Amino acid sequence: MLFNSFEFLIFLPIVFCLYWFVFQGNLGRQNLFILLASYVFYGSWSWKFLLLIAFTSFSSYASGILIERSKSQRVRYVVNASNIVINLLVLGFFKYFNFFIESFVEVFARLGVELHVHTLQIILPVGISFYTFQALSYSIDVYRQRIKASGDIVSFFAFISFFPQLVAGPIERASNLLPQFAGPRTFDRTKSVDGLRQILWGLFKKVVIADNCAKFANSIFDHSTEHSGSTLVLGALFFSIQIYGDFSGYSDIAIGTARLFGFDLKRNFAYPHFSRSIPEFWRRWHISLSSWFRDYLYIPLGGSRGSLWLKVRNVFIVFIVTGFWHGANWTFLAWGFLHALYMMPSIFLQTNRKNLDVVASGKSCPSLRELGSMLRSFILVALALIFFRSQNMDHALSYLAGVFSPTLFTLPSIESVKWQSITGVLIVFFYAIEWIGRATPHALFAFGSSWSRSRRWVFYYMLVLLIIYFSGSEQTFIYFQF
Amino acid sequence: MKYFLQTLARFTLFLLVPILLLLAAYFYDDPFKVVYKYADNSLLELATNRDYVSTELFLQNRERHAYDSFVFGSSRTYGLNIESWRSYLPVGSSPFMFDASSESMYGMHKKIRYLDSVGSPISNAIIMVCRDCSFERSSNHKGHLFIKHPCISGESRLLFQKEFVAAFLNPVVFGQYYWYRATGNQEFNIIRKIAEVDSITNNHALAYRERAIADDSQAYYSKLGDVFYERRGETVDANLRVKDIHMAMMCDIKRIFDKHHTHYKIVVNPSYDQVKINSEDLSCLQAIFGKEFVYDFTGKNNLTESKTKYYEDQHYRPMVGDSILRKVYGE
Repeated sequence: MLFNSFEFLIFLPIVFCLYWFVFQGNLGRQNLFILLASYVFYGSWSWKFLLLIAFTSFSSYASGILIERSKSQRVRYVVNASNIVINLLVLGFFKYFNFFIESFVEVFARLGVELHVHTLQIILPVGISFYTFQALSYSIDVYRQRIKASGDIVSFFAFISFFPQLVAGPIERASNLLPQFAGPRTFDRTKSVDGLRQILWGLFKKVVIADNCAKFANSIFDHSTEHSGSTLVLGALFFSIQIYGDFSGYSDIAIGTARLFGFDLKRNFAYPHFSRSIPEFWRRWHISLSSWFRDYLYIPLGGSRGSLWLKVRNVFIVFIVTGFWHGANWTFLAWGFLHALYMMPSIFLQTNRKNLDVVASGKSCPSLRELGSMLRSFILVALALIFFRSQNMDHALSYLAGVFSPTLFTLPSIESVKWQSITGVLIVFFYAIEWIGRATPHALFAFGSSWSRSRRWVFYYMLVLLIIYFSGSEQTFIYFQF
Repeated sequence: MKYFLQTLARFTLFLLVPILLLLAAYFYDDPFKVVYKYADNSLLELATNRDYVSTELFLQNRERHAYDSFVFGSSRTYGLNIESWRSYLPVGSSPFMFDASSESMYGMHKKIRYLDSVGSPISNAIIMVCRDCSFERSSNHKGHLFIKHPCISGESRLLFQKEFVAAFLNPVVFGQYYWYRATGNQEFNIIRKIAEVDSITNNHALAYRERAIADDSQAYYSKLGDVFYERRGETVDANLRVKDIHMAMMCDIKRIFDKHHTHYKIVVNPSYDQVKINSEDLSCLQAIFGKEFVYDFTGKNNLTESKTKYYEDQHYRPMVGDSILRKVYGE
């Protein structure tokens, strides 16, 4: 079930009431209830894949115990490696099998050898990339002796399948979330109210901003050969805003929902469109994934230690793998490769640790230089997203060719002036609220805190009405396909 | 917790009261005519879900008229006249326009499976494929104008009704509906019925546009102005639109056609944009249905050259449909 669905509107209050009124006071039962609710939530997508998530959970749970109990370093290594290989094989099969077969066939075709290999009708289980990585991080952290292995199978299974973050993250670390299952949770009104605000903002981002931008982005991308360069630029901009609204909106709903149950999930987005550089963008975008790759791929490869060329190599590997994580298509690899290229100036000039603060901190407006930097970063990210959105490399390259054509300097064709104008106004409103709240965990965290309650409620009602008004053209969350 | 729930209840109550009132109005008035059954769905006053209208007409009339020949496609079937098609069919055939707005291969596949499941003969069929929208979906459509009839989709009636309720809760929609109820004025597109529907064949026609063109074609096309945008000549669709799941659907359609010994034609609709279907997509269609049964009218040709063959940039006129029929039936 989607977060912005009628089914979830029924599901959440029921689970909330049962959780706090029936199962509070008994931690074991409360965790078991969360596990069951999470499996019901996941089963609503496909009950067949419940076995898969249970398998992943059990594999990592058992590995953690075996690793911790073993005194032999070799055994610990083998168990950890086996768990990684098993889970990556499962992920690889569901996500990449057809891609490798098709690529294999194409390589041989180019050599003049025709192969008749059939691809399989493999359905990608929702959220597999997310929960697999979450499970892997646990066993690796146990192996590295960063955390103790969990002896509570219910808590562990609940940690892997926790429904707010199950299908599209944030990818949680066991060191953060598992102890929260181990300890009693008490209802915190302030946390819950703020959780509701975060859910509201997340729904606004998804339903109002992302889904409206999607209409235009889809229309332009799906008919890209028919549009001028300037219209194609508009398409790329709309898609950039769409994917941000969609994914960060989902994360906001996930984090806000978790807070209703007394859990604190890690922040996943920190206003990435206000980044002044690409390294800053990656510190603010899909933080749970980028930090996962930093800790479990980049640093083991050597990280920033060693020579400059080693660092360059590691950056390329991490970004290409990041691209590959997103999907079985050369376009995602190209997207990752492009971002690695974007990182190079800051690597060579050693400026990748700049811009650690909030942009225009303490000021209401950015300086011209800051504005220029933000626009430059946004444009670079938008150009790379052309690959992310395109169906294949031909489509992406023809799209780019269209962008960088003489028609770039013509007026963009606007299909529906009225709706694009309304969407434009909403986008401005959206970024204004995000800008005001850029130093806070989410845009509505402190927004209107100095207002009277009735004035705040009028603002919230306005958001709710906008969500209802725009809820007729539902689009799937983009990151569900990963 | 108590204070939290009380505050939440107060917050939601303020929203719930008007929503509950609107819900009551929805079930009382049935603005989209999908809650209750009606004697003849072709006579409904307002624009509603075309898939629903088509399916209800089929269900109401199938025993009396024993339909055995079907046209499947999107609203571009405005340009295909059922009576023109009847002249190419064996004597005694009973044709039916089984179309839907923004129809997809998903929808057409579901309809054909449904016909097979209820034992309806499919002696003749035309599938009108739209290069740009037939392969956009692989699951049920969203939105009250596009969601499939529960009989066709096999999904729950509750989910079906939910789309209409959600649409009705939109202030613009209920505002326009009650404005119409108060004034009889259908000036707003969101509710205006634009086609005349035949109550037996479900043939739908944009008669009011044909009348406007017949009265003063110059004025009609001048008014549309930039709608007929400047084209840059034939281009080829760079997107591969046919996915594995669509191929599976089409294979199943072929299997059903073979079972019914259906005389079928697959027509890839001409379009004003003059964009040629991707050759790989066309090859998919040909591989599944047979090259001799697939007719590609995309790209630049005599059916896409002149704007006078179109009502606007999306829908061609019956003269184009007649030309298509002459071509596919070998005249």
